Formats: sequence, C-alpha cells, structure tokens
Amino acid sequence: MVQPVDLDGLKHSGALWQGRRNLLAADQVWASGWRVLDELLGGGWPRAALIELLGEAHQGLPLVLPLLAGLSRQARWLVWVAPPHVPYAPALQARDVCLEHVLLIRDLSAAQGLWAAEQTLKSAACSGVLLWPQQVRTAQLRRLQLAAEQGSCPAILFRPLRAADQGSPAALRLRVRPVPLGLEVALLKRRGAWGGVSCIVPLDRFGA
Amino acid sequence: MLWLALYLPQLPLEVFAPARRQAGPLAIVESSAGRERISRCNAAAQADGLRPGMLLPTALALCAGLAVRRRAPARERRALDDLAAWAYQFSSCIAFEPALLLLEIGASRRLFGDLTTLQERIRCGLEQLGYRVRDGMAPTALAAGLLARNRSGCRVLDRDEMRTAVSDLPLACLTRDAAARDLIRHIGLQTLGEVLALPRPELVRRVGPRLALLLDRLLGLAPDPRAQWQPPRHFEQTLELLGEIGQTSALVFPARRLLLALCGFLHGCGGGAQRLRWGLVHRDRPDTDFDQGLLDPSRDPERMLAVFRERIERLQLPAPVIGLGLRVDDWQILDGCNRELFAGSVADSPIDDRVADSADDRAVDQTVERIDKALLERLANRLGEQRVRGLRCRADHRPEYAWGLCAPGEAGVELAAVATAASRQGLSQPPWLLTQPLPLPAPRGVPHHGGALRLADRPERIETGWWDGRDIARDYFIAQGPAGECLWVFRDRRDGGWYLHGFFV
Amino acid sequence: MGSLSETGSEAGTTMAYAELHCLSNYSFLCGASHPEELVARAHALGYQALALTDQCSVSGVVRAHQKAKALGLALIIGSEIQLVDGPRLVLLATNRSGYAQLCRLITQGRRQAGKGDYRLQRSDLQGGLTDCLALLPLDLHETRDAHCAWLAEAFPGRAWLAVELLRDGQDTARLRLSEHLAQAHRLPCLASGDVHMHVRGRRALQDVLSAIHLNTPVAELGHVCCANGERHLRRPDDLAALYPAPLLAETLQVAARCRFSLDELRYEYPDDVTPAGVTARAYLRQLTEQGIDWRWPNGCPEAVRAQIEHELELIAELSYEAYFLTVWDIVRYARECGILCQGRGSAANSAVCYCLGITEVDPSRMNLLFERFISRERNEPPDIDVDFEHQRREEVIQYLYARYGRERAALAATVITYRTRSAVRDVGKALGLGLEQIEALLAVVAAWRRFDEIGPEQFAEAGFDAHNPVLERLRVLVNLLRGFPRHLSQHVGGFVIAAGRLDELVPIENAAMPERTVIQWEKDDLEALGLLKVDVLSLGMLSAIRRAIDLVNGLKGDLKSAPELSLANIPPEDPAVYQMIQQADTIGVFQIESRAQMSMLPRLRPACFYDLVIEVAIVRPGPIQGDMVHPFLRRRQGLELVDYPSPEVRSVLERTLGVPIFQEQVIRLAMVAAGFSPGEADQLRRAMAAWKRRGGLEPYRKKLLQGMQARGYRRDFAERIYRQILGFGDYGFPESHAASFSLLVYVSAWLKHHHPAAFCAALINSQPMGFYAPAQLVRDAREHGVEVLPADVRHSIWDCSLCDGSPLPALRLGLRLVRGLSQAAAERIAAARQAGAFCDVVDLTRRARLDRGDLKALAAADALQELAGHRHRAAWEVAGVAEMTPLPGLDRFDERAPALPAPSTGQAVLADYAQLGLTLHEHPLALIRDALRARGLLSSAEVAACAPGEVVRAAGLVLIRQRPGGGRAIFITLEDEQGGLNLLIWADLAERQRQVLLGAQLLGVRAEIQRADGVQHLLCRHLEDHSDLLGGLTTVSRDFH
Repeated sequence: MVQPVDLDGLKHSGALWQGRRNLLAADQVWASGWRVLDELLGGGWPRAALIELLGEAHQGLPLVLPLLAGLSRQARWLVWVAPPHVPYAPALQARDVCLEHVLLIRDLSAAQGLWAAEQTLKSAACSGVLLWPQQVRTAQLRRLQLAAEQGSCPAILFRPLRAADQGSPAALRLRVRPVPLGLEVALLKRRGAWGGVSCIVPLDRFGA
Repeated sequence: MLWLALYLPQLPLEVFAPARRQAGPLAIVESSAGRERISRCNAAAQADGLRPGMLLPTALALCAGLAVRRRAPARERRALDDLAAWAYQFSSCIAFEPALLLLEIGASRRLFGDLTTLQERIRCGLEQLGYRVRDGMAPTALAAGLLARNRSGCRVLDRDEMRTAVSDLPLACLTRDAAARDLIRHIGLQTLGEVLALPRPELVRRVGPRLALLLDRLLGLAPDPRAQWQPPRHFEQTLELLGEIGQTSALVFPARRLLLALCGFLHGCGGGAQRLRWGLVHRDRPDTDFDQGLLDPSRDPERMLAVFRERIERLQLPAPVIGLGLRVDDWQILDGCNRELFAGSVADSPIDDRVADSADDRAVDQTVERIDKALLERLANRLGEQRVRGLRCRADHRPEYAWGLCAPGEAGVELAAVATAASRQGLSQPPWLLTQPLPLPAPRGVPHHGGALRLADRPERIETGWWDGRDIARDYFIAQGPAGECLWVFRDRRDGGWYLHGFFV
Repeated sequence: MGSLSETGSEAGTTMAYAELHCLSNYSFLCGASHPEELVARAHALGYQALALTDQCSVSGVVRAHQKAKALGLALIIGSEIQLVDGPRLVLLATNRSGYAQLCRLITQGRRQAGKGDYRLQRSDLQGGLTDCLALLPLDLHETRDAHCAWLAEAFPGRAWLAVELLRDGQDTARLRLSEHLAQAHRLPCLASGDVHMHVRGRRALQDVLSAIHLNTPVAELGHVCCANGERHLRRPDDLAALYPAPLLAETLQVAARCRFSLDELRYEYPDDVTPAGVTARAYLRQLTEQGIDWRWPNGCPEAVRAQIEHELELIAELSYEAYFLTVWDIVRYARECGILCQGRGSAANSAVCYCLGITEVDPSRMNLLFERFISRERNEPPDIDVDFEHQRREEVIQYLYARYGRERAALAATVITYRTRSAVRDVGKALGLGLEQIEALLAVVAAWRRFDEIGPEQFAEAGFDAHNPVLERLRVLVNLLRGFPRHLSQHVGGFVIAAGRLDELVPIENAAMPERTVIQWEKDDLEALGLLKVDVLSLGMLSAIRRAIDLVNGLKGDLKSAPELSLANIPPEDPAVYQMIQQADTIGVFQIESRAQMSMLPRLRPACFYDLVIEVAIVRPGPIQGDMVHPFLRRRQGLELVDYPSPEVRSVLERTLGVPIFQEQVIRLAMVAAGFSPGEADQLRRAMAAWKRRGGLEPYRKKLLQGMQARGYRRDFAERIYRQILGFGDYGFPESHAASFSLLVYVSAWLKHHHPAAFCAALINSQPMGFYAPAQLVRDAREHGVEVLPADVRHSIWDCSLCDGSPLPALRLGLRLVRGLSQAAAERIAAARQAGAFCDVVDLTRRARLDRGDLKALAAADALQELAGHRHRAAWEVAGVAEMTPLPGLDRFDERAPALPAPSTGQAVLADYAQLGLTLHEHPLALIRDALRARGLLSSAEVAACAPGEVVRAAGLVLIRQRPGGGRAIFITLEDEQGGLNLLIWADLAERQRQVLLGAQLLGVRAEIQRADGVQHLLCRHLEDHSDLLGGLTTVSRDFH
C-alpha cells in the first residue's frame, strides 16, 4: 500500500520543499521510496544514525516500510524492540519485508528495551533497529546514537509528540501526522539542514 | 570367551511404557504391505484378545481403549545404548543385536566371582530399570543369543556341550534366510541338530555358504567378529580458585580456562557441546549450579565465554566462591569428518538413526552465522528466549492466526505458494494488528473511534475457521478517522458489533 | 426448458441475472452441492438462467436438466476448462452443434490424459467451437493481456471477461483491471460468481472437499480454504449491491444466446447389422421366423405365435428393431466363438428374444409379461442384459469396440458416491482425527448401520466424548457428504452404441482398465434421455457349464456320450435331478448352493422347473424381509388355506399361492388392486429399487392404500402389500430373471447329477466363482463316488481333466491347483510329455524349461512322487538341480543322499493344504479327532445322532461366514471329516464373542440342535476357539460375502 507515486502535482502546487543543497552522498543514505521525502531528508534515510519519528506510536511505520523492505534483504537482523502492537506478518510480507530476518524483542522493561537496542545496534549483526522506548533520557539517546554509528546501523526511534521539546542528539528528527492524503512529515532537525519544512507523503492506503 | 546374552523381548513396548508401571492396553504397530499390524502388545491388551500379527482395525475392534504407537527403532536403539552404558560395569566388551545385548563376561568373570551371582545381579538390575529380560550364556555370541531368545536361563560353558544345547532348537531361530528355511521345512526337517547332520557340501550347494558359516559361528568353528559398543565420553573438570571470589565478574577468567580445556576435549573427539553445567563451589554450603545453553552445538571457547558472561551477570552469588566446575554430560558429533568413529561402532545395526542428522545441513555462511548466533545467545540469556522471537506468516485467513512467533530466523520455512497467497491477502491489510479486537461504539450503526469513521466500500469478507471452533464471520473495512488516520475495522456478521483490529497509519 | 421469456420467476424483482459459471459436486471433490440443489436454489432466487459448468465434464447435467425442466428454469450447459498453456475458461453451448463441439472437446481432453484427468491446450480450441461462447474468469494475478488477445481472436464476438467479485478485499482492483482489459481487447465484461455451492452454509463442506482432494487436514489447508462463503448462489439484491448494473445485465445477453436443451438430443440406434436392401423390420421378422423354426421344429404353439406378432408390432411401433438386431448380433458373435451366453432380466419376457437366441426361457413353458420389458406407456427404452462366460466376456467387449469404433461405442459410467464408511474415513482424516479414532468410529458405524441413527450414547459407548464438538462436526459433514459423487467408474457391462458419433452426444473418457472407455453419464441418465444400452455381463456359472459340457464331450470310448451334449439337448424335468435338489445335495449348483437356499430346498421340495423359479426368487433378502417366505411355505405344505380377497388379486397371485414373490406381481397388484396405471406402476417399481438410497416411497404408499381401500380391500391387507413392497427394496427378482437363472440352476444340477466328475472339474477350472473352494468341491465329488487323482507331472495338465475310471470317469487334478506354478510352465510340462515320459527331475527340468520356483512348487505339491519319491526327498532333489549348463552331463552330481523321513499323514495334510488348498488324504480333523474328543467336542455325525432340542458341544473348521443383508443373524458353516454343521448365531452373541467369531479357524460351539424338515441348525449359545489344535494348518475360509 505504500507506493512511490508521481509527485508532479505536488511539486507544481508548491507544497514541496525542493531544496537541493546539502544533500548527503548517495552511499550514506537509503532511498525512502518517495521522491518528495527523499528531498526532505536530503537524499534519503541516513545509513548509520539515530532517527526519531515523533507521533502516535503506530503512525511512523508506513513511512519506513520501503526502507525496512530494503534492509530486510540483507542477511542481518532487522530488530523491532518493544513495538506497540503486533507487526502484522502478512502485511509486512506483502510489502516485501523479508520476515526471515525480523527479530522481535518484546515484553520488556524500559531498561531492557534500551539495553537490547544498544546491544543490537552495536553488534554489527543488524541491518536496522526499530525502538519504541517508554521514556528515554538524553544521555541514553546519545549512547544509542553512538551504538548506531559503531554498528553502522540505522536506529529508528518512535516517540510521542511531546518528546519534540526534549533535546536530542539524533541525526534526524521528523514529526508525522496523518492527513487525508497521506502522512504529513515535518522536519524538526536534520544534520546539516534546517528544520521547519514539511511535506506530505501520499499513501495509497486503500489497498491494491 | 564366554558370552552372556540379554534378550529384551518387550523392548518395543517398554520404550513406551516400562513394564513395572501399571498401564492400560498398549500395542505397537508396524506396517507391512501397506497394512498396519500389531507387532507387540502388553498384558492388558492381550487380556482383550490382542495378538501380534493382528490387523490394526481388528485390534481396535477388540479393544476400545487401546493406545497405539508406531514402532520406534530409534528409541529402541537409544534404550539399548543406555542399557549398554549401565552394563559397562560388568563387561568392557559389549555388542548389540536388535533387542539383544551381548556381554563378554569371560574376561571379567573373576571380578564378580560366581557366574550365577553375576547373572542374577544383571537380571535384577534390568528388571529394576523396567525391562523384562531373558538371558543365555555360551562360548559363542551366536549361541548365547540363541539361548537367550529360546531357552532363557540356559548356561553352556563348554564348547562341546554347545551342539547338544542348541540341537533341539528350530532352524528358524538361527536365520531369517528364507531360502534356507524353506528348504529345511520342505525336506521335513526342523531342528538345528537335524540340519547339522546334513551332508555339508550338498547343503551348501543348495542354500549357499551363508547358512554353513552361521552354523560354524554358532559352534565356534569360525570367527564371529562383532562391532563393539563404545562408551560415551563426557567431560567434567573442577578448578580450585586461589582465593574467595565475591564478584561474578572475577569468575570470567577461571571460566575461560575451563572452557579452553573443554573445547580441546571436544576437538579431540570431533564433537560440540550444547549444554554446559556450571557449578560454583562455596565453603560451607551446597554448590550453586546453573546451566548454560547454546543454540547449537559448539566448541568455540570465545562464543561460550560470551554467553557465560551474560549468564553470570544476572546471577546473585549467595556466598563467596572457592571453586568452579564445568560438566558436559553429552556432546554431539560436530562435523562430518569424524563420523566414522561412531558409524563404525554401530555399522551392523540397522536401527541406529542417532548419528544421521545435525552437522551437515547447518553452517552455510560461517561468519555471518557466528555473529548472529552470538548476538541471539546474548539476548536470549539476558532477556529470556521467549522475549526474543522471529515473526512468521501462518497460512490462515483469520487475521488472528495469520501470523505467529517462531524461533529467530525460522520464518522462511513457508512454502512459496503459501507466501504468495499471504502476500496477496496482506496487500489490503494493515501493518499493525491489535492483539485483541477493540469494540467500537456505533451510534446509529456508524462506528466511532475518536469521532465517526468513514468506511471505504467493498469490504473484505472473512468467514472461516469452523474446524477449530473459532469460526469467524466478519466484514473488514478500511476506515478513515476524523484526524485523517486510517484504521482497519470490522463488523461482526454474527453480533453486528464493530471492532477496531489494526492501523494502517 | 424453452426460451427465457417463459421462465422468469417472481421471486427476484430487484434485478435480473443469470449465473454462468457454476460447479456442482460432479467436478469431483470440488463443488459442494448437488446439481439439483443448485438448480432449485437458482430458481428460488429468481435467476433467469443457470449454467452448469463442471470441470471438463457434463456428468451432472442430466440431473440438473431434469430438475430444471420440472421447475421451469433455463439451464445452460457448459464446462470449465483449465488449459495447460492458457487461462481457465468457461465454455457454454449455444445450440445442439455447440453442445456436440463441447462434448468432442471434453472427449479429446479426457482421452489425452489418464483416468480422472484431462489435458487441453489452446490449439485444441482454435477455431473448433464455433457454436460455443467463452468466458474468461478474471484472475487478478494470472490473467495476462496475451490471454485476452488470444481469446478475442479464438472466439470472435463470442468471448467475455467474467468479473467474479468474491469480497476478498481485492474486488476494487479486479474491477479496475477488468475495465482496462476490456478496453484494450474490446471484450465485453459480465458478472459471474464462480459458484461452488448453492448456499453459504456449505462452506465447511467445501473446505473438507479441498482437504480430501489434497489429502491434508482442513486445519493445515491454510489459504486453500475458502476465505469466505461467497462462492454460492447469492441473493439478487446482494449481487446488485456488489456489481455495476451493466455487468449483471450482460449475463442475460449471454443466457439468451444459449438456447440448447438436452431435450433436443435425438438418439438413433445403429443399424449396422441389417444387410443392404432389406429394412430392419423385415430383417428382424426374417430372423424371428428362422428362430421359430429352430425353437419349435414341430410347429409353434398358437399362443406363442400370437405373442410374437404382438411383440413385433410393438417393436415396430417404437422402432426398436435395430436394438434387437444389435443384441442378436452380439449373441451370434459369442455363439460363433463358442462363448456361452444367455439373456437375463426382463428381456426373458420376450418371445422374440427367445427366438433370436438371446434368452432361453421358453415362452410356451412360462407366463410372460412382455409389458414389463417394453411398454407403450412407459416411454423408455428396453434393457437387454446378456450374461457371458466370465473368463471370455472381454472378447465380446472388444468385439463391440472393434465393430462400432471408439467414437460410437463406450461403456456407461457408474458414479461412485460416498457411502457412510468412506465419508467417515475421509471426513475424519480431513478433521485431523488419528488412525485409531477413525477406526473406532468406523466400528461404531459398522455396528449401527445408519449413520444418522448414531446418537451420543453410541459414541460414548465406543469411548468417545459424545459432546466433543469435533464429533458433532463430523456427524454433520458425514451426513452432507454421503451420496456425493466421488469419481466415475465403469458400469459392469452397460454398452452404449450410437448410430453417429457418440462423442457428440456425451463425452467419452478413459476408464481405469486399459482398453476401456466410458461415457460421462450413468445408467439413470441414459434412461432419462432415452438412450439404449446393452448390458454385457459376466457369469462364472456359464464358464463352468461350458467347460463341463466340453469335458463330457471330450470323453472317449465307453464313457463317450452320444449324441454330443449341448445346452439344447439336456433333457428337461429329470426327476432324478429334482430328487437330488430336494435333498439339498447342491454344492456347486448355481444359485441354490448357498446356506439359505440349501436349508430351504428340503422344505420347498422343488419338483418342476417353475418350483425352481420360485426357489430362486423367494430365498432373497427382499422376500425374506417382506415376510413372504413362511406364508408361502405353509401354503405349499397345505398347512394354511389360500384365499384371495378378489378375483383380480387371484389372477395375479395364484401361481405363487397368494404371496407376491416377483416384482411383476407387485406391479400387477398395484394396477389391479389399487388402480395404478401401467406407467404409475412402473414408477412404483423404480421407486422400490431406489428407496433405500433415496427414499421417496411415501406418495406411493398413500396412493396405494387409498386405491386399495377404494376398491374394497381391507386396510391390513393393503398395509401388508405395502410392507412387502418395502421389503423388495433392491433385492426383489423379476419373474423373467428368476426364470433365466433357473435354467442355469437346472442345467448345473443336471450336470452335477449325471456327470459329477466333469462338473467338479469344470467348477475348479472356472475359479474363482461360486461359494465353495476346491477343497469342498473335491470332497463333495468324492462323496458322490468320483475317483479323484492327485496332481502329478506325469499325468496332469493345467486344468483339471477327466480320465478313464470305472464305472465313472475319474477326475485328475490339474496343475492349476499348485500354488506358485505358472500356467505357462504347466503347459510346457504337458507339451514336453508328448515326446516321452520324464525319467527324472533333471530331465523334467530341462525339457519343460522349469525354473527353481516351478520345481519347488511342484515338489511341495507332491506332484513329483514318481520321479523323486516322497515330498521331502523331492524337495531335497529339486533344490539340488543346478542352473542350466550348456554341456549335458555337467549338471549331474554324485551326491550323498541324506536320510530324510517320509512325511507323516499330518505333515502331508498340512503340506497339501498349504500348496494345493485341498487334500486327498484324510480330513485334517480326522487327525485330531482324539484331541477333540478329549475336549468333549462331538463330530457332525455324532451331532446328527442327537435329538432336536438337545444342547451339545461340537467343533469344525470354519468354511463360510455369512451375514445376509447385514442382518441380525450370522450363519457359519463348519466342516469336519464327516460332513458339515450349520450354525446360527444371533448378533448379540456375535458382538459379545466377536474375537472368537472372527478369529477362530477351528470353532467350537455350545448350541441347541434345531431340526425341521430335514434341515438342522445349531443355535449357538457360546463360542470357543480351538484353533490351537490345528498347529500350522491354514484353512481358507470365505468371510462375510
């Protein structure tokens, strides 16, 4: 259901921020699957960094599904730490996520979750780590960021909106919000770029 | 040479229910020519009229509460193995035949003095272990086995007596060779004595040399080489510590020494260990024991040590430690090159399947696997295995049952067709599923979730699951909430209620 | 069926729709509803038409057609085809020619694959189906542009895209794709439902069928299960909500173009037999006249002549001449090949058939009812069944294929349907039950013959938790599945032959047997459509009779009979034969050798041919259950007065003393006493034959009782007649059929009486057949003074044969009795013997080219006596015969011969039984008589000396176990060295002592002697197993036939 679509309309409407400066080198990013989002992200998702998606716990996932599909092709673990609901296997598989590499770590205390995320990030045995932390201190965020760099693995944190006020060492912070046409993504912070811009990622949510 | 043969006539049954336990009717079936037949049955079943050779339907007709098990040669073989280990105290030369143990007791005879005492000890011992046994003793293994099977308790110490001792037995005891048995039957003979009296060259010309060789082996006129059972080697070492250690982290170093020793040992025998047993020795109190598990057999000390670290981090020491022990009770063959070691010892036994699996089918990409496993072990040892799981699709139309947890990395076992079918269905389904459907209020028939929901038309109808009593009949809709969020809701076609079952966005 | 405008039903006014893609359960293990159910449902929902489109089959269309005709629904005939190199298609016949094209296509597909399968590719369809329409059911993932393009080209103006919305979450995508493809390929779209069941409620059964098909439990079917129950005939308003209106409307356009009805099939019987320049009518007349001269050389009786004229007139009126000529031709062929044959069944009511040599029942000796065979009212083809020697019937079948070709002749099909047991087994497996549970369930089923009668108590008794939901599911599903067709099999011998191409009438497919082809319809379908068939059946007794006659005619010298014996010159009504029959001395005699028959003979004391006809018909489950036997016996013995409530009834029942014994009598009774028309009476007969399977007698009961009461018959008389009709069920015999069989009864009895050696030899040579194994046949022959000589390589041929003896010919056992010896080897032995006697075993081996297996078999059978000495020596000797060496002499060895003991009598008996199945030594029980006596068991002779009512203990070898009609009584025949014992065991005792009953070979009983009319039974009170006394002796008993 998450599909890259033709964005010409959006571009012409001027709703799209089309800055081309400060794009990251192609080998440092993963294409997001949407051109409009790639542009917002400066080329794509950073490869080995902490990424924060702020919104309802379940809302950010569609945005990274194409990324996950790509990551799961590698013979490494794609780790989900403390997801808020059941990641629905048939739907993930239908969206090309290779389930064989999915590692689900659940029923954890807050500390266990952070520990597991850090261990997996560091291990270099993972292609990506998704974490839904209950609460997280800045120092812990820093450790995660370091671990991500160390294991060369993107760490994607799904955090509530109120966390936007908290400072963060994350390389990328986005705020997501559903809108009738898809998901509105607002850039809060990106290394080497300005915040405050946003785009709408169109999701063909009604199947097929 | 003097052989004691121990015949376990009820072994196929006993591996399922030891004789000493009171049991309901039980029968072992084997299939021949596509039909299931009773091969053994216990006393309770016999009381109901069951007999070996009966067809299974007949048996079930006779005995309503009959428990039926398929014959399990592997279990029988394992049981014999265990018994051999137990019998090793009496003889260092042990051989097998199906359902039969052969102990060479000539050599150890003087250790136990009186033969009768020895025989009695063994018989009692086996009975306590839950096996009914018949025994026989003779200078050749073949004769001892024959006597055990047919003339339990018979003891022949002298070669010259042997001819007489076996001459009354039917030829059928000695060989399954149908050609030979047919001939002997057709010429009106039956016993071994009569067969031994036949002119030998003429007999050989008619049935070939095999029967003659068997007869010679029986009488000790030809050698009867047999593969000997090899005892399993287990590992056990204890290390005394130099001082009293109060911190777990200080145990890592001595543990490493033990692990190195263990892995050296495992190397020697081409094996790997999967379960290690650690014992912490305290001064005035019982040892603290704990197990350390590995996902698969290994002899990699570093990998073992990493797991050990995770394991002891969670440990509360009840008292200072003065010694550290490591025990490995069983280990497995790790790679193909050392297989002959085992295969040789069991070559003659058709029922051994213990060696067949493991090893080969694993280890495709050693390096990646190594990292993977190490990470998993660390996570599992710290968090518990049940918290570290893989995710898989299950072939079921019902969303609740269309997914499942599995061991990490094992999701890929689905058939391609199943995967395709799941994908097709999954396309119109959301990436998040609620573990429990959440009832939604539906004033005037319109479901609400933070406001009225707008439903897409053409719902997906799922009604299936009648066979396990969890039949569902639902119409699934993709619905849009007031804030633009996109939900997966269904209307139960039975009670008409509305439920939230998943999130798209 | 008519056009669409006549058929609209008022039920659905919301929209008009025709379902064009619908599978019934004749797409075996696929559809979950009967064709009739689908038609009825479609009609009730107000569908404008329904197409039945089973997978490469039209097996279910006749049933659907009949139902649709009755309801007035337009039925379209079509078929779903999966191409190996293309899409799945639905083809619909628009007219007669389109139907022919469809049948030929199905035939082609079926004949190109193994039984039950088909194989078609695109090229098979190209251009050949000009009168068919094609629908391409859209598959979201499979349908390709290429498919559409090909279809549009192959079916120009006759192709549609079928959009099947099944609420699987992808309907929107499906609609979108259909729009795209329709536009791209200029194909119109229509709605269809891919219907697999008539109502949603069949969804569980549908899953079970898939599970059975894939041999996987339902719980593991995964996505193969239906995701929902949408594949049913949906309500019009439901469809209207689901489909765009134009798609629904388009179905009517297609339906309107399909105007074919099965009623249009015009079937013509082939007339290949009639010579050029003569009409069939004239030729039949000519052959009949010839037959009259042959049958009645001294002139035809007046009544028979009139009957023949009447028959010929009716045959001409209904144009059945060609049919009679065809059957005549088959019989002629068989006669020319020396294959014995005889018509059976209702054809024996025809004097013309008698003249043509098809039947043997002399109309001057019998009271024929030709209307039972052909009638004006019953617009229904005659059905001639002819029995042939069982071992030579295949020659006749292949003659038919050769004469008419595979496009014109084929066997009728038999649809194998689920019975309770098979349903329990398959549903049980589908529900994931274990081996033990299914067997236990089957045991419950066996004990309670009707599944729907099995309640929770019975399940609980069998150790089940009666309230287990799985059991409840099983019950429901088994009840649904019962009666479902499972696959097509071949009818026992029903041949359908067409004047033109048969495969344009009905598809032909491969049967399981090589060289056999069957059509897709079964007997009832053929009847419904008025297609003629000839039943080419097989009968073992005909083989035996032919062989016995050949043996008698082969005798030489004093023993030779003059003139040469044939069926025709066997003297009728020989009192000595009837005397033998009255004494129940009938082992081996056709039909009256069974236990039940033999016990009836001394009571019924048949003294003429018609008595045999009654005997054959009365000892049947039907008359027994209908309580006809005892009244008849009492009346025959003069113990009861015969009275008739009216002269009409008297005319019908007089010849059977007021008791209806034959089917014809029931029909006549319904006519004369209850006022049924001949057509109604015949429907009653059909309903009688089918009621056990289908029910449906209730309306007849009402009509019968009312009719009889209206004519002044007492209510209890009427009820009794109705009960007797019920009893007939499947089992009642028509009189003509009984008469045909009785001829064989008489002939075989005559042969047994006058030529016991030949009769015995012929029976053994025709095995397997009949009730008795060679051991009993030989013992019986010896008791009748026949000298029986052992099988011996110096004298025996493959078959048992006759040789000089005095005063009777002696019987030489054939090598066919030697287990493990091939017929070819036996024939080589006989051939080599022609060149001179064998001097020793090596000589025999070399000249007859025997292998070790042959030699061992011969030695074990004691057939080498004179060459090698006793059995044990022979075995030693043959084991020493070396493999063939090129140099003579090198294969002989100087050997020390061991001293081998000669076999004792006991060993010899055991070995005889093991290798020959019989012994000429003493009976095995004679050998253990002392042991039996020590156990206090009497012999059969000792039992015979006891008084009736006495309770005795006796024992014997179990010969036959029978449970007639699955009833409450079990009959067992025991045998010992002095004779036999007849046991009667009631079901409750059998249930209590099941293991002895089934397990014992040497069965002992404590029983009460019952004796009446010279018949003795032992009514058993307790059973004992004495098999241990037998040692290794194996006897062959024949269980529960």
